[in-house]
Amino acid sequence: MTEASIQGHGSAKRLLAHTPFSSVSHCPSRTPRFTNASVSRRLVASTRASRKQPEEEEHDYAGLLKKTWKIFSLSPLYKFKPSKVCLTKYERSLDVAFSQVKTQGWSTETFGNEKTFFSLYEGLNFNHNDAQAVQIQVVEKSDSGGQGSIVLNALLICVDLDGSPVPDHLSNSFTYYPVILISGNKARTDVLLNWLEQHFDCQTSHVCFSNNDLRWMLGMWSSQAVAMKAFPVLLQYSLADLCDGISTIDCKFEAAFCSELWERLNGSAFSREAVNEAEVNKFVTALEEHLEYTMHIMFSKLCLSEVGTSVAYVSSQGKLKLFSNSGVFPALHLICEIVKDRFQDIHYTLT
Amino acid sequence: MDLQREIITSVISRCRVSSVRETLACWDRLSSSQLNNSVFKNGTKRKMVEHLVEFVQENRLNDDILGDLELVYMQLHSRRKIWLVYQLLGNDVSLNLDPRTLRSKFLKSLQLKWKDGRVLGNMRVFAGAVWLRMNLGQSMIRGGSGKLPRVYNPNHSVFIVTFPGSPYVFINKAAPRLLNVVTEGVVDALNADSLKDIKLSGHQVSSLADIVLTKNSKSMLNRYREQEDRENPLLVGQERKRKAVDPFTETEGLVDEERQQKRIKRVVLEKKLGSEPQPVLETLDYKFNVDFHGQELSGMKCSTSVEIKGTSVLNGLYQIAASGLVKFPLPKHLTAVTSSARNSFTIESAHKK
Repeated sequence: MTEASIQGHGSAKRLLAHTPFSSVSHCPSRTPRFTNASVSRRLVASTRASRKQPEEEEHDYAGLLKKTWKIFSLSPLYKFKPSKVCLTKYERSLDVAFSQVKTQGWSTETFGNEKTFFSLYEGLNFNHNDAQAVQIQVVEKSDSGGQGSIVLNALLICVDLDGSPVPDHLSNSFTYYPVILISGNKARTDVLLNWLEQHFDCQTSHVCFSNNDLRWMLGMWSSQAVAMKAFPVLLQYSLADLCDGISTIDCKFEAAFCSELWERLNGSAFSREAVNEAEVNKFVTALEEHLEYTMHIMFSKLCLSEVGTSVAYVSSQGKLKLFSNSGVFPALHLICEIVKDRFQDIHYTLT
Repeated sequence: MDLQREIITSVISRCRVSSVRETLACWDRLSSSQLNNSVFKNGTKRKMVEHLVEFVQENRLNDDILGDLELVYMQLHSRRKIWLVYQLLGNDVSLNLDPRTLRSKFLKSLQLKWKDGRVLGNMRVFAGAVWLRMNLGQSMIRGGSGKLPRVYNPNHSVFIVTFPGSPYVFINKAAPRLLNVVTEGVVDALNADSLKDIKLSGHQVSSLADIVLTKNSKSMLNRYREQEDRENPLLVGQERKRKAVDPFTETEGLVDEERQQKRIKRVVLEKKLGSEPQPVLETLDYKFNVDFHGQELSGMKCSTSVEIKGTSVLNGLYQIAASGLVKFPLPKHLTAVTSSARNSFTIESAHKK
């Protein structure tokens, strides 16, 4: 990557500062939608649901499981193409971004000899409208020239969205990935997010989940069938704002019990394709009522700070850990939907 | 010499720079002029270690005296460990042993049981309690990965606190293998039948002592807390005070209809949880094995575990109860933590099938 081409990108950015999803925010009057239109969310992939196929063979999501990811949201990327040729181009450009930070001198200690690799990540495309998942790996080469170690992993995902915020006539110029999952240190994460903002004129932000989002996750994921040795269902309430002495209260239920409870309250979840808000509320309220009965603490008035199920553990601060191959779709789909809904709530719908 | 250097390094590196001098002063081996050496005032930890190693060599101090240094460090920094409380059971428990006899009996018993290496024992009286340090050495032959084991492993030191006349023993949380040997040693040395884990644990020795020693107040014990406050120079300014809960304020023109109820609640709360600050505990564990009580579903067994975590859980409970987040009447497992002297409960439904 030469300097001219970097400047090229820079000037492109200036020219396109007024793209609809620009990070330079000067938005016209927005009409936020306060009501959440989608009160029902899907449990199975749309393609699978329509074809009524028997269980497909489970894809092995290597490198995605048992790792703590931080979730960031992205606005649609301008002129991002997930093709082999373009990805090689992006590799060079991001390499330059890393080396630039290093030459600026203020963070020489945190950066080494970075080399980035872009590749397409298979197995996350459940719908033909979805942009193909892209994996970004940053490898730090040691000075001795041996095998480097991976210092940052990132994954641009778009999992089976029902409708995209990008209108049809713009769909050629914009690629929408609602979520980027990153595991790596903060300095490198910042470089990557800055690079995305500058080169694809998008907006990145750290995702925090609300109490309601966490209840959705709890309800949807614990309805799933569980294996013998499943992680317990966790409801962690944070009391740090309410009193000095107690920081958190962790409540754990057996996973098998939760799936049985779901079945008794809302019917079997195995043949279902969607879950609605009333069912989720009923389920979570039942758990909270039981906790209130045993502990006499009014859990329904407290805020969840972390929820865990056999599918995944998620904290309100946007940390995610996935546990099983079968849980990848429900987990990532729900997260993508939540992030997309929030994005659409803020950005007025383009016509 | 390696061992001595390792002990000094491990102690100094765990101290804060500001608390090194206090720790050394309590050790009572250096004179005040030596303590005022500029190394201890504004030197790096590395220099302090070098200085101490020289001092130890000059005065030919042995391993036992250096063990005292670690024991002193632990007495002043006892909040860094989790302490488990055990109760001695048996009819002929000797509760008023001379501390020196206790140490030698204990050491002998451990030396018989521990086959891996040398056992070092130290004893020191602090704040009215007898503190023991047992370092269970490692064998130099056993090294799994071909590496020689460390000469000195601070995690192999187990600390035991006993109170004269009281059947309770505090032991810091250590590897199960070490803990097993040490509990057997305690049983032998004190001539007890067995040692019972009473499911009480926490970081603050003084709070745990408050809980168990006031429980059987028949024995006239000196309060550990008061003595520690006097003897531990690092505790200055760490007094615990309960944050005042907002008093009932009367705003003009505002009528609080539930005023009477709120006042009654406050009275009940003070009666149940006490108006004094509570002992400091960091966790409360509950395991429930009861019928499910949500959404009027019946006949479902449900096992849950609830863990309350924080810097001072009992004071926190008081606060949230005062702010109306706890349903009255208060259940016994919330109010009886101090009186039953445990912070881990298992609750099963009364009617078993």
